[in-house]
Amino acid sequence: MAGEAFESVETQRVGRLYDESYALVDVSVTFRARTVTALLGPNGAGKSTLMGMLSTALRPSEGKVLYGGYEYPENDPTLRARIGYLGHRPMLYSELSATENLAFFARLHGVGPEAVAHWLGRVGLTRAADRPVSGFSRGMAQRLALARALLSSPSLLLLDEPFTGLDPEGVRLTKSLVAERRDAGAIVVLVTHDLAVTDDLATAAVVLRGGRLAYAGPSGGDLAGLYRDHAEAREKRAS
Amino acid sequence: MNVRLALTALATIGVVAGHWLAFDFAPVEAQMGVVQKIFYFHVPSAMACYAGFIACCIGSLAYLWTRKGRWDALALAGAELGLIFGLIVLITGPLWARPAWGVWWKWEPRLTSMALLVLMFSAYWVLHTFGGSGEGVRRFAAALAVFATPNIYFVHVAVEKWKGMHPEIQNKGSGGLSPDMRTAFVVCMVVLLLLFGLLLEQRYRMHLQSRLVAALRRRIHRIGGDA
Amino acid sequence: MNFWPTVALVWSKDIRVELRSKDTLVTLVLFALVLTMVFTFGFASDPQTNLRVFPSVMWACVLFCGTLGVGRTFAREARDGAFTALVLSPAHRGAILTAKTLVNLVLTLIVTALTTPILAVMLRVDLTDVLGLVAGQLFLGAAGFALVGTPLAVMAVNARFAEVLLPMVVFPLVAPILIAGVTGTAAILGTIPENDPRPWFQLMLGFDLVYLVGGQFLFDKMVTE
Repeated sequence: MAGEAFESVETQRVGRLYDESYALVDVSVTFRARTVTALLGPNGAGKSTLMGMLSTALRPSEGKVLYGGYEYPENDPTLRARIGYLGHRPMLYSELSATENLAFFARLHGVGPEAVAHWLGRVGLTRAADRPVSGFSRGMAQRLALARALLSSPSLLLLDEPFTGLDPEGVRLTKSLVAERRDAGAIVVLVTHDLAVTDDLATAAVVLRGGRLAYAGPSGGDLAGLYRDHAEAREKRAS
Repeated sequence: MNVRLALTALATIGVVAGHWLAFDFAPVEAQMGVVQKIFYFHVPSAMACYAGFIACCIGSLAYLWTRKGRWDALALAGAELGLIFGLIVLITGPLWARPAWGVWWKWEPRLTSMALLVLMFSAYWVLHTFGGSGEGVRRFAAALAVFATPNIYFVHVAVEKWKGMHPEIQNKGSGGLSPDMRTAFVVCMVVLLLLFGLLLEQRYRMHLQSRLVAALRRRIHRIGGDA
Repeated sequence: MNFWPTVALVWSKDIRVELRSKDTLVTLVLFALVLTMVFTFGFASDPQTNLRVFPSVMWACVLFCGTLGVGRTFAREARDGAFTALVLSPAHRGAILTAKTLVNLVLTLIVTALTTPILAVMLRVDLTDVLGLVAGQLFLGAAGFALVGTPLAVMAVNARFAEVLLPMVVFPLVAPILIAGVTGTAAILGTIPENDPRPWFQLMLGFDLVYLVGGQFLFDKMVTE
């Protein structure tokens, strides 16, 4: 049901107001297919706002987002079908079992039931498949949430701090699943504070600072320095 | 700016003139006596109240579609003024009803729908004021205002059917007005609606500015505070 | 996925979650039982008076239980953010609203089916001859509550004091249903001179239709942030 992959997702001068103040100002950036882009920035930089807009949960106050060069009408289900989103919260039903959760979202996405067992296996939850999610540890819930986001084989995969609560094994698993999705032609946007991740996974980076675009380009050695400079500059200003 | 000043002056003079016209110029009504004077303020207040709630509904619809904060500010200003004028209606109404009908209150369509209307927009106001400052609350309030509007019709129909056996109170006496009464009434109506318009505009601008101030204050905190 | 399959899917998911945790249903049923007790202690009197107060008491129960149930609609879903996942899925949003409304309708009807016979027995009102009419009224009335309350409940998820705000918001809005219900039931029972309940059925039906359309019209706008 993923439809054709997007070659790119592009924001054109997007801005977002919350209570008359800008959380994001004039951000124009392009995310490309077959690329993992790390979205970096200190707290309150507007990362989650940008992710929300890419996921269609938030609508831009200004500017527009083009998916595959095309501006979709507001609330278009065919667009939502092609986006996978993993947020801060697991976004699962704690009363239902892992299987039931995935089966529910699979049917909403029009994905066949065989995908459920497949993804449970991929995230290593086959043995916990019939247990209610309320009994899951943070890491297990995070794995299941990842499975939910990947279930529909999205062309645009948005991951907001996917490594929180995961053990090293879980981090490795997540990275390999993300890489697999990338190789299948998807656009992956990954919010993280962990710059080490960018070294072996993300080849592009976008840095936000105070709601504005600070850097967009390949992730290289200077990226960590750029990021640190911001943090230091902020501290200097604050003191 | 000058236009607003001129209109404010006009409204101020108008309020004084309206009182003079209502109490001195217009004759005392033969049957109801001096209590009928309430009518010159009661009916225009009801009109201003409806105008406020209509402004709230329009602002809310526009806000839901465009998400521009100014529409929400207009809706809030409209609700506030509607409530103020609604309270005037609900206070002057019983004052008139006691001598005229012998009771303070009757479950009559117009009274009931006005009371429920004020109740609904009170809920809107409470929600907007105490629900938090987030956009979610604004959306909720806007939806409530839109939902409340068709309700006015249903309340009216329901009460009309419910208490259909009291036709004598349907008409509050706008029929047999003497020319002098009519003059006083028209002047009062124009003045109160002008006053309403001015207050609405002031309140609307005040909301816009206070939000701007809050936003600036947050920005100062963000630059100076965390890190 | 089409409209009605989505409705069925979301509805059955909600009912399954409810059957598993049972908290809303159990709370509602207990609350309803307490209400019937309070009302019968408060109002039970001679048969004539009982017959007169019965419509008001019956509809007050529907009002309180209906509002309590509506408030719970999205609370569970909002807690873990599952509502965001639901809204971001390709599911038709009108279908989500419809499913939620039907869940509320079922809950309210279950509770009403429990309280009404208890009240009738306790107040010694004989409903056997008019059961169909009263049930029809209760159905239209409960539908009115669900249609008004459900879309508003989704917004209460974001507000502070949502538990207090929602009843405050919903009560005045359902006033027409309450007037139509109480007077209509009185007309059926013949305790008022005008004993034709038809206009009250029409009023409720009109109310339900307007809010059915209005909710579908607004819901999409309401859930987009």
